[in-house]
Amino acid sequence: MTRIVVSGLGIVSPIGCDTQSFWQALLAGHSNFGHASALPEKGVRVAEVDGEGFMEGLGLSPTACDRNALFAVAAARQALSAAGLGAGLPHPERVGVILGNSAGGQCSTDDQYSRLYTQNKRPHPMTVAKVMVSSSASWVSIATGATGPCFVTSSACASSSHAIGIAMQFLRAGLADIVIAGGTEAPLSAGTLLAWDAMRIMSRTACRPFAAGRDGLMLAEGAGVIVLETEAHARSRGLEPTIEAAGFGFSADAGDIVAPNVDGMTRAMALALADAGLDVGDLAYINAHGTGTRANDRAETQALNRLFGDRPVPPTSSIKGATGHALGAAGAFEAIATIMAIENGIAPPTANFDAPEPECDIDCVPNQARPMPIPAAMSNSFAFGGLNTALIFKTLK
Amino acid sequence: MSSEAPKITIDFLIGMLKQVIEENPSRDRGKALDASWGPETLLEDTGFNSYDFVEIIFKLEDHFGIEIDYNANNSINDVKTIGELCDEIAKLLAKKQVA
Repeated sequence: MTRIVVSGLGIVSPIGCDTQSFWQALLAGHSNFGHASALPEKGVRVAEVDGEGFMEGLGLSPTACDRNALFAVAAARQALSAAGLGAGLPHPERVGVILGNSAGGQCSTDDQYSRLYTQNKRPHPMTVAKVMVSSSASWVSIATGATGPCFVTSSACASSSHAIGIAMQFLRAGLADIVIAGGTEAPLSAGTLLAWDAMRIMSRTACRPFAAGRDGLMLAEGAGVIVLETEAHARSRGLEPTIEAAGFGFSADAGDIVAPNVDGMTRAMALALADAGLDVGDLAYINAHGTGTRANDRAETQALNRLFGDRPVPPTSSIKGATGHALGAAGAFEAIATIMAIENGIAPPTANFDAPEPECDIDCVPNQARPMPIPAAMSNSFAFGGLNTALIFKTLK
Repeated sequence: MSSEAPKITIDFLIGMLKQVIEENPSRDRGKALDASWGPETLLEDTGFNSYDFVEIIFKLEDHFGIEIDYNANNSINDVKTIGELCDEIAKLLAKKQVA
């Protein structure tokens, strides 16, 4: 089978707007939670991208682009630059853009519809172009010149993991030589925040994945982009790739619209292993979905224990204690963290772990980063609606 | 707002439970609605799950015009019977009065 490699990474996140800042913050267990700018009086705590620095040099305007598209273009530019493609694409028709996004231009929807509902003013003429769920992929295509397959995958919190997995299939099938893959989300509008708050699963204290007394998730925003490429194409450009995107597994629970399902989670992970041609014993590290909700972390622990059977579950951390939950961008954040864990030989910690939890009996790499060889690792994303994904990355031999 | 804590009865709660379950029929639990329910009825026999509880809190807030401090990750998910659920809701309502 055609091998797919990682050629470049880019990220805009609440804990860093370049891969090195992001990685150093992860290792230090730094987070960036504060009161939501859109709802300062409500006590809702979120992780926002700091300032407008990520916009520098983009040449795009918030009048034309929703925040989620701006994040995506900024992350894509970083990733292409890291892949040696910053000056342009050699064959743009062979370059695809596949990004995940869960709910489109939520900030623009809020801004424009509130004009109608509260001031009886018409929405701005660019509203449709800003709120459409596919706008981020379009803007990345426009900004980079990529004219190959281009679309957005939408599967709630698994959106960007699906995007990365589908990008692998497009490359394997010969439909492109390079895919700009990942995901983006800008969900921190007042309406979206209150909708999440109504579910009663948002922590008011800290996101504490796998810890006793954890009391929920914290929403975040940002984008993560990975340049994926066939190994042959990467070598033809003179690259010496070190990381392979080796496996993708996915499943649907056909169960509950919100509750997690151990069977579905386990099946996605097993399929990813089979796709990568690996055995559970080959996985040295797992980057968990680990939302910090009681239901997810318990179910994910059970699924890992079931997958590994008699063998020990390897160190498994959730970076959501640091990054928060960026929904359609979460899978991309976490795939990037997984790739950097392999590259650096360090498992990033689960931040804010303050007390062990009997129902989460895994080694979650509490609070302290752990140097260790990581030849292969898996990144999980388990979404509302019972949509499960697992991605496997490994060192290229 | 009245200084009295809103009162909730078992019958009122059972009516609300049945409404929430009827409104979410996809969970294959319609048959349970025919059964006779009382304080001792196990929630698992009604098909009730933790997410239904979120909807009940939402309905109570609308019904009484109040806000209830509740997080779905907390221990209320451990209640076993309709009577225990009613007691837990009464505690939340009483806490509201103190606040």
